[in-house]
Amino acid sequence: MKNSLRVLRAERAWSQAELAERLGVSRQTVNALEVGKYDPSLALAFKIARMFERSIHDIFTDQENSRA
Amino acid sequence: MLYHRHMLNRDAYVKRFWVWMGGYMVSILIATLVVPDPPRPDAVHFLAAIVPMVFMLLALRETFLKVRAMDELQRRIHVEGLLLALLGTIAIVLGVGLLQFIAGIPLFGVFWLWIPICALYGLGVYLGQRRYA
Repeated sequence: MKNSLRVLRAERAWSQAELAERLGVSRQTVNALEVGKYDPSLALAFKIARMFERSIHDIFTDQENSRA
Repeated sequence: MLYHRHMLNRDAYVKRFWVWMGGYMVSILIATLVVPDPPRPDAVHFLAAIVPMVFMLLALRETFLKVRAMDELQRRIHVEGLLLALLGTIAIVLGVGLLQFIAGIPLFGVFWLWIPICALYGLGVYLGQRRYA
């Protein structure tokens, strides 16, 4: 699953640590999300979407569908 | 500064863990110094053996609560570490059991199993941290 988390974070000039604090997760989790090593749970994906005032679909893209 | 309650709690878990571990070590020391030898199935010896386990259970409870308070990725890493510890220990027990009954190597106590369990748990967490780094 691809995501635009790094771009959205950069737009707000937040560090990974700051975003991690806002989401209530570790900085390692934010980094793993950004580089695509970890896909979030639905609850965390909703939290991220609310934080950036976007829909989940705007932030996360299913790679299988994007190839089709 | 933003600081979530569960992050503060994680530090509190570690502090409480070491308080209970301190109680465990002190109670073991008291048991070995105060309770007379040799081992006997009387009330004093029974109590001396049970009290340290109460502290140990409280320390283990803090570990459980700490893992539950982690974020979802950290929890996954620790659960996978525990799975490695469980499966690895099963392999060790079965392997050593065969060596004891077929090859006749000396028997050893179940007490020593905490060493491979903790080592494999630590290894599993280390590998998980590297995987998601």
